[in-house]
Amino acid sequence: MNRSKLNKLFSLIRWEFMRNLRFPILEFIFVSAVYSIVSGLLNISSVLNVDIKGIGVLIYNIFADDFIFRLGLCFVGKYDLIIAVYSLLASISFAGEIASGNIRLLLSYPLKRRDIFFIKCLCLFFIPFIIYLGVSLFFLLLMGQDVILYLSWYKFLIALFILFIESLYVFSISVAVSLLLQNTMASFLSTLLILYGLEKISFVLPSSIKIFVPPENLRIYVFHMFNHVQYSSTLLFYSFINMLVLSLLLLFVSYLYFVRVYEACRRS
Amino acid sequence: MQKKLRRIGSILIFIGLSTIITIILENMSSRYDSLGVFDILPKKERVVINYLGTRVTRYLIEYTPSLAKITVRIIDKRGLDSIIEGSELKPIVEFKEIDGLDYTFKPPKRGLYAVIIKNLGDIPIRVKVRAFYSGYDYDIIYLGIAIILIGFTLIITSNLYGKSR
Repeated sequence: MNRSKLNKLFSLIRWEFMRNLRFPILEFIFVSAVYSIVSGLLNISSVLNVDIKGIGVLIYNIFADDFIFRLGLCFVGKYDLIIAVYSLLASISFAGEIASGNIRLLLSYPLKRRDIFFIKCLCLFFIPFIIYLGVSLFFLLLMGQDVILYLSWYKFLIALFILFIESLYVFSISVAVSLLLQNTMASFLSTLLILYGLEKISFVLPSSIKIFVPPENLRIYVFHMFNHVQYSSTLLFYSFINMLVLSLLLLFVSYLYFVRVYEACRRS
Repeated sequence: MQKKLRRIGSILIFIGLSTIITIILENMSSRYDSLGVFDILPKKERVVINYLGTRVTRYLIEYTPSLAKITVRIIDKRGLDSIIEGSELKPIVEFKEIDGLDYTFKPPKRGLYAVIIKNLGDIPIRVKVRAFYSGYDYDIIYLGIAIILIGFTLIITSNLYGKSR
């Protein structure tokens, strides 16, 4: 890749940051991350009841695991906020730019549509993800200072993986709806309705089906991973694969639509 | 530069405000935890460990039969470390030869705390330990205030920087 193309890609990234993270969007992402994580970590409720001779370093590991378990639960428990963040970003970046005509300016830039789509997706997906990661680490270090040396970083990565899968699922639906409706408010509200609807449905489904429907499958996975409840690992694996395939498929369809079908200067 | 400082300041103010509001919302009602019901053999000690924030904590310890006396010590992480290392134990507070406990205290910092209960009698006893939490986690609230102040400082600095140019 030559230098001038790299410069163009960087200026596109800067454009994405300037347009999509203006006041108060970035602030909203921070507020949602702080609320999700602080409220989750405040409710550490492990209690150990042991003989005085049974006290060892293991007790610290148990409390450290509880911190990560709470973190995983608050990523899933505050699913509504993740929906709001990603649907807002996708509606502004895709639907908003199409509706306002800014997309024509962007497409006139000497870059392929493929590059524009990828950069938009990478920026929009990873900014909230990195903010959530940063806020989690900050409050984990602050609130778990007594047990921080005993944290299992492997389990922390599992909690992050849960956040990643959840975010990818929400993000793919938000992008697909935004490209379909091409109107900021309509796509924002539709994405909220679709994802909240699916969430509410997942609560009332029988447990054999629940394991395949987000976010209940993620909640089950959190309990499974932190040994609170045991579920079939194979079923959970298929549930994750389904979620991942659905997300990637939706993103691929959105990509095909944006690159091959979408007409920026369509005449009515 | 001036715009960037102002932006960072505004983000910090929002982070601080959301931290404080989260704490207020979560701490608005008091919480109750049952820390367990268990038996202690004569002359034996048992430890109940839990994680405490900086909310006011009230420990309630009851036991049956009430013929025997108990000794209760409350320790923090340093105390737990000294038990593990086998060194001398320095409790935060100690109650000797009592027949039940209703003790309210405000943990100086968040972290692990433990209640050590010793059965001084000659018969086994069944102990019930409960904890009530009320008030606010002031350490996090102060952190939120500090973040807000840093945010305001950045905004003021950016304005001064703009005027000086």
